Amino acid sequence: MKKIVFLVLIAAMWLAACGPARITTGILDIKNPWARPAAEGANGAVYFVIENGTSQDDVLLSGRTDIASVVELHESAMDGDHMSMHHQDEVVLPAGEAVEFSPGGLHIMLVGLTRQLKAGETFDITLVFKQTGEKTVTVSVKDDVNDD
Amino acid sequence: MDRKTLLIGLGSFVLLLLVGVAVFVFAKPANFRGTTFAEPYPVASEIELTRSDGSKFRLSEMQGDVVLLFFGYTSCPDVCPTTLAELRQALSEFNEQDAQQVRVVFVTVDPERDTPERVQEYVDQFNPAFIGLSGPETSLEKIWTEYGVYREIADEQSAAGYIVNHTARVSLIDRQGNLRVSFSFDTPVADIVHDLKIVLKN
Repeated sequence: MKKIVFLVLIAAMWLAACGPARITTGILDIKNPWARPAAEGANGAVYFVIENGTSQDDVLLSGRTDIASVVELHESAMDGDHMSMHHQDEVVLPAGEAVEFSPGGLHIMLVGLTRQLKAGETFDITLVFKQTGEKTVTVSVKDDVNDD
Repeated sequence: MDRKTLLIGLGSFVLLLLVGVAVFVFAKPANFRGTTFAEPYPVASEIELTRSDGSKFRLSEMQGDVVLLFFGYTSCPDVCPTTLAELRQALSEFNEQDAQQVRVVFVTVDPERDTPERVQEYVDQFNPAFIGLSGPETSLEKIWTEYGVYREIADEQSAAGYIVNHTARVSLIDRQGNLRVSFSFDTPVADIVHDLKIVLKN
């Protein structure tokens, strides 16, 4: 039994060593927030990368913005060709790791846009974290993540 | 290492290489990058629905042009906009004359909420040349079945009302009205452009 534990530990160390480098910036950072254009009254999605550079796990609990009546956390999942979308109560952000919100995966769903989102515009969204508290970021509306 | 071992080694390497090349050449007719339909190519089933402007849409009348067909719904915030944005991006790689010969058709899987007007408005956000369609559920159900579209209203609740889980695959129909290739959600835009070039040439 001890031997197995030892082997698992060694394997875990290897995996940790091979995995992406830990982020040790000391802060929780929201990188490159963006959203696609959408019509007033429709639903939208916000994408970004959250880098938790602190030494403790954090949790994204909710969000709010002036431009949508409700903000929800969702994750799209593919099972073969079958796309399903799942409402998330919260999203765990492990210490030292980056969690990506991107098309076809995790996203912030903007329900009932109170105005049209046009490429080139921006809007603010406030995200609520268990440890870090609230953070407001400016979201760029653009056709693609790579657009300026 | 003696000469014999070396020869056997080299020989089997060359053989493997040849098999590899043969598989690559013969398994992918016309070298499409998407998932190909085998010959004889299935004829794309007729889609006949009323457009938002009151005119009749018939898929058969699109013959001569290439059609990219996708099923989705307008309350969908993530996968459907991503797909439509990618199709627009793919078309932007072509000159105007070629791009006009590619018709993007978006058929709803949510007729209860999606009127023809609402679907057209939704696709207009991406490109006013895209065609957005809805209609009576009975007509749509027939179309979903014929195109093998899975579509299910999820139990899960959202402030957006119900969520519809559905097939997220784009089908490419050639100028003759045959199904040729389909693209899964994660297909790179470059692969769609690549395959469009092949069908536009024919």
